[in-house]
Amino acid sequence: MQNKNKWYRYGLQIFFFVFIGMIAVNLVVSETGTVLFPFLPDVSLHAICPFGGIESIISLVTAGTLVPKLHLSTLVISVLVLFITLIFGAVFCSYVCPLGTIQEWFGKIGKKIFKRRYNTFIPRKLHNVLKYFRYISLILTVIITYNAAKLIFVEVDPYYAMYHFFTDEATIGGLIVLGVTLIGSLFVERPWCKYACPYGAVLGIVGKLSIFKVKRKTESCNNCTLCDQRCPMNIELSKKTVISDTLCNRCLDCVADCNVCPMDSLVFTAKKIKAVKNSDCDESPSVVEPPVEGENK
Amino acid sequence: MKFLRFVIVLSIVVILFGGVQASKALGVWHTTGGVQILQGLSIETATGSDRAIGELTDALRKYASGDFEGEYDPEGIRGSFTFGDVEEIFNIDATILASAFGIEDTNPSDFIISDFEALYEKYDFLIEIGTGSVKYFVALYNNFPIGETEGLTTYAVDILKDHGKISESLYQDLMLAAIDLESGYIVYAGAVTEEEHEAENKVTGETTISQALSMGVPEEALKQYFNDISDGDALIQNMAKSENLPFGDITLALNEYIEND
Repeated sequence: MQNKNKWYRYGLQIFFFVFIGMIAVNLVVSETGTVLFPFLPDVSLHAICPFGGIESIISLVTAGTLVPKLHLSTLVISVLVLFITLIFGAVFCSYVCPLGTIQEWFGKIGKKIFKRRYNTFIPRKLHNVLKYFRYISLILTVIITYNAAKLIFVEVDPYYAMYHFFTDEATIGGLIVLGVTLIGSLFVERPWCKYACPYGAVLGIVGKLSIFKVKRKTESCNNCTLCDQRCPMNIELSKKTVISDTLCNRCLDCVADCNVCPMDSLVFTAKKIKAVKNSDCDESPSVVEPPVEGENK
Repeated sequence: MKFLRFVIVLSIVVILFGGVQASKALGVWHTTGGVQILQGLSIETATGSDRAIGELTDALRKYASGDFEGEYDPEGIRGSFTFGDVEEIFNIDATILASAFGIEDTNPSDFIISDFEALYEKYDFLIEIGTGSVKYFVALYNNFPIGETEGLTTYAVDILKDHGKISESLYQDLMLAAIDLESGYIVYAGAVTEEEHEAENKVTGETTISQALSMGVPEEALKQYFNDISDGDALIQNMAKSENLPFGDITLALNEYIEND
């Protein structure tokens, strides 16, 4: 049942992965005079990249302009994604972003290889330091983009490289970062998202203001820490009541896995959580081993 | 839980695709073109022409690679385009285009580029202001790769500088060959002071017959090229053009007289 309802997310991830891929291929092929998918828009990926509006935020505010290669459509997509984030949090990362999707796919291979050790290789202390690197990445990207007046981030952008690896548009830097990210995904869940993605940093901050959040009913929770072990972003949910961590991408795997508890101690809701009297659950903390992907079917 | 995920998926699809459709309906969905966002939003995008923009863009080539991949190449701009068409495709406000080329029109969106020829023919400029000029201006404005350099007006060069589209050094260079629509002359040495210019003591595009004579060019030398040099205020550059003579060669020859004087 858990895996069944995850397919709503997986389905949307696959849809956007393929949809954006088709747009990228369409543009490349159209240069030869052939239109492969006439029903798709003939646009560059920059025109529909939601990060574009953020990248050129300084020139947008100070001069009312976007850097070259970006257009009004970029700004529209940026606003729409921010709007979604204000409602649900950073669901863009977990339901839409193709780079997040491909990291998850590589992660599934890593889970098969390393089983329960997967996503535990980076010590918590180091993780707590590394996770701030994406803010540095964001600040550098915005400032350098403004100073250079061009999309400088594309030089190391694994997302752009992923969809242009078959053309000379893919930069060496982008391909290297993509390679490192995918190899890293075999050991760590979503390494790019957790430690480097400047757009994830923005959505994480905006997500703190979201209407819907993951919340923990402390009265019913027996501190089994299953959610901590399940969280792909290594958030310690069992120590919080409202999960407003900027790393949380609302994949809701924690909520899904917590359904094993009859009291549903983790919920994704806009409401304030009420104290729930749990006579069915064991009051004493108990540690539950998380199911390994593929074992709970 | 199942329902919640379904709601999230549905919301994402509806907001993203619905939002794009809504922005198209509002005329703010531009996947190509320039970067003047705030002005672009505040201006009506009507083209004033009966043609759909799609008909125009079908004939335009896009940059196949490089920094401007997917963008329309301004080289495809034709004389039949209106300023409104250019605004729609390249996102440069029609009023900016009109200002750049000295067009005073209550509805600049409707101005057809090929009308430049009729408008500026009477001025008999040495440098043509026409479709090529608009292509050149659009390329500079959007920071696109530059093909052939074309004539620009001083207004256009000023606008490019005021909007932060060109560097100071490029501004100086462009001004050297820009046409001043008020005087009808090329603004040579636009960045050079009058004193410095005089100190150079050379025949340039601004030099008249009488100035050349006072610089030391012999009458005979001028008469080698021009039959009538009685009008001392006549620009040598304009006279060369009217006689279909190479102005560059003439200046070199005349300046040799000055240097040897």
